[in-house]
Amino acid sequence: MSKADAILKLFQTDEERAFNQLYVAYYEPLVLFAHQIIGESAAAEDVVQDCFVDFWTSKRYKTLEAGLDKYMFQAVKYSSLNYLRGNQRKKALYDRVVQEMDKEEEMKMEEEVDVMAEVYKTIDLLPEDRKRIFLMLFVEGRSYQEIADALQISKNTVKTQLSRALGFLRNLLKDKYIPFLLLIIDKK
Amino acid sequence: MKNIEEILLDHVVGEKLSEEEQRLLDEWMRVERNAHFVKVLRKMSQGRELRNALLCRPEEGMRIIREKIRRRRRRTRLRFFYAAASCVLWLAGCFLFWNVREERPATMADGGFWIWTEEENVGVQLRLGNGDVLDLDDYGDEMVAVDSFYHVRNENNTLVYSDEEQKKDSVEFNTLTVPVGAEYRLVLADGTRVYLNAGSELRFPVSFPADSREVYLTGEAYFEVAKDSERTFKVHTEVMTTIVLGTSFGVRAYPDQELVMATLAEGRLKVDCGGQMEYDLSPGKQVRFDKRTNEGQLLEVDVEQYVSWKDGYYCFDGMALEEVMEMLSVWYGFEVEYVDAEVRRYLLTGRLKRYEDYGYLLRKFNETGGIRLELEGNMVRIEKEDGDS
Repeated sequence: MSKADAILKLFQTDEERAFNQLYVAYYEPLVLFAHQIIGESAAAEDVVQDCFVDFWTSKRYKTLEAGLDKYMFQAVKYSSLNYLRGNQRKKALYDRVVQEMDKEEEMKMEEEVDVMAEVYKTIDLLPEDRKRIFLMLFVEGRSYQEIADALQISKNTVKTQLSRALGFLRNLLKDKYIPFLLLIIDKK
Repeated sequence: MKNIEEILLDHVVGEKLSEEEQRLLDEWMRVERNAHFVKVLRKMSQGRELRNALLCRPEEGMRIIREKIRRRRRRTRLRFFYAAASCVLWLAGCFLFWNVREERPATMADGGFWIWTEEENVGVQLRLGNGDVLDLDDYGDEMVAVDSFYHVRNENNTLVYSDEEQKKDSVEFNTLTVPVGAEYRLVLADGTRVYLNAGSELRFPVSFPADSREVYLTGEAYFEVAKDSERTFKVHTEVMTTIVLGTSFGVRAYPDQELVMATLAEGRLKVDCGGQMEYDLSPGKQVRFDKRTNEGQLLEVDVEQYVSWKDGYYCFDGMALEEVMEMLSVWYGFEVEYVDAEVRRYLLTGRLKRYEDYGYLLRKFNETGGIRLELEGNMVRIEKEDGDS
């Protein structure tokens, strides 16, 4: 059983504990995810907290059958995009030119956000060591050498672990491939 | 030949690609979803500081979530009461209109309804790696948690971790949260002793991995680090990291205070302020980092003043009143308002036992003359006292 399913199951017997576990497992990746969309730390945390509050007060776990992680990432995605739109509307009042975000632009952005959600959701499924190295490189921005030194492994091991992690992420993304993307035409 | 992941990796970390590799990558990125993927990876490092901040205060988010849930409940309840109250008022109004026209139901209108005292009294808590939260006040001197990899005992306000053997490849973290007005001690799996001051939180692994010892602190703690020449011991706070091999030192990093400090009692200590400045400390030295200006300072101090709280008393020798009050407010949970700004800089010398209630403490301050302290609710108002008026 996946971690998300285990937590969802626990909600049936012990809501308090399940809610705590949900927080421990997903708060950080959700905040980082929201932050990458919104670009502001405080707003990102705020959005994620509100999603947790909604989840708890609406007792959403009672009707959810599976895909707890998917649900949380969706909720945070929509709240974050809404937050951004709200800001853009405010901005539009000043420079009236942009009445609403370009439709195409918006679709592109939403697609990117979907990929983002997959990435953050999937990191969690990596084996512990690989996850640690992945975060050290991509989030903490450390170099191969720094990671190798910190974990006392060879630089090559670091690279191997990282390319495996990327392969894993990429394959998951492939599965979510959306058909309309096939319409992209080679311009050359 | 490299596979696409390896090329991608080199590209993201900024290593030079061969012509052939670049061509393959361009080809691959022509699929929009792949291009998004690369963009997402490259942007992940924007979350660097945020991740660090989250690691330093792992419980904060949950605290706010619970607070928000409480507020939301309160709002719905208030709305209900508001409806009920206006109904009552209306009836009362009709009634009074019929009877004694000049009387008004003032008691209802002046808001007696809105006083809510739902403040929960949360004690010392330990959060386990699986998210379970244990109230330590409920445990006497007994086993708190047993796993095949570690045992945790509670012995007279001290948590003791003993690690059986290191087998796990994943590191489980626990978090100890101490509210305002309490303190707790902890012996980590490597034998390091930690005194955690009031209003503080420490996140630590139940057993340290073979290559490092790292903990995350919000608030104030004093460390007596067990010697281990192989593994350095790191204390991360939001803006400062201290690195040692074996030594005793205090760290203060309260989120609502501007100054973050590390004070060394024994041994040697390295302090890293957000990767910008690095200091090597010898005993008696203190690093102060100001969050407003992002500036660090190396000072010579009387160490006792900064670490005596762990032994249950405060002492200060020519310390600014403002700083003294910051120290005390953490323990006693009061807030301070300065009526006269200049009193902030008054210098105090003295010694105070910690467990006395603060009514007594305030009287002592008043006896010194020069300043006047008044207590209102949990707000201490400080003004200067003119001797001759």
